[in-house]
Amino acid sequence: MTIYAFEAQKSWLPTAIGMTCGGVEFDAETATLTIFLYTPKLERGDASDEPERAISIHGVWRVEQEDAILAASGDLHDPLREAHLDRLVGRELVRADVSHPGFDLALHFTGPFIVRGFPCDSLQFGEDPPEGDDIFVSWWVDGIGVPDDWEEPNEAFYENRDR
Amino acid sequence: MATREALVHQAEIATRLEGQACTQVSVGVHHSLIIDFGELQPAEGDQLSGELILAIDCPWRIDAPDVPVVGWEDADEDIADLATVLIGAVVTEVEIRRPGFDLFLQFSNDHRLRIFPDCRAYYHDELASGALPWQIGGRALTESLRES
Repeated sequence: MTIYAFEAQKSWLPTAIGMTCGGVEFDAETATLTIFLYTPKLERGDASDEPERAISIHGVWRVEQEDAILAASGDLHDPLREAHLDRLVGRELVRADVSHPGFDLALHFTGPFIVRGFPCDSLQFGEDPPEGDDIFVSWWVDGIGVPDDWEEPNEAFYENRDR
Repeated sequence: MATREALVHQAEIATRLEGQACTQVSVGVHHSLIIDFGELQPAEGDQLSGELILAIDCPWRIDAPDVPVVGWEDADEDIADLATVLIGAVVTEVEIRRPGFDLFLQFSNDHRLRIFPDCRAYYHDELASGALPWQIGGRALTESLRES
């Protein structure tokens, strides 16, 4: 039921708004970009190593700064990728947009920087995963208090929305 | 022509797709998608080609109003089958979104094609890849060039 996993992951995005990017990693083996986010601390030195949120994008993505493209998933051997991704560090996540029906992701950081994810595997949008496959989505949220089950939504998101 | 300049040129040409009917869809190498518009005529070999041809060499997706139908990461056989949903539909709106030069085509059957370029090399001339994420060709362009 992967469409439900997308919906559930969308409900966790608001919990990352206002957090600051503490690091960005690209894992070439899994073709996954991960952005680590932390709540700004009043006192320095007490931050744990564990990020409060991590937003991962698998597959197709792009990082934009105003009218420039800084990095993109198709540049397999870009020597400047790491340096360009590091420009996100210290930036605050101010907005996260998800557009339908494709669950296209746009993470807006101060700068302004925008990180975009573009799901383009139609099997993700079925109610059930293909036979023999696990549930899969192109982007997801991890972190403290976020369940490992991709289909488990953030109930607070729906409670706040329905008020 | 530098890559970025070529992209700007392609963005201008893209407006010519408005009002054109999709007549053929085919899959190229590495999941590239080739969409023909307008009357098909014999081309090289046993091929047919339209008046305008959109060749997409980067991630793309075709959406119905409520759900994506098919995308770049799908299997070739699924693409060949499902992308035919565009055949017979007319382009009613062309939109280019910068800085990525994302191309959006809205079709008369309520389907939408989204193209998402995903290489930094497309935008930076010093990287000199020469490749374009999508481009438009076809005999209608050749003829108008001859006339001018």
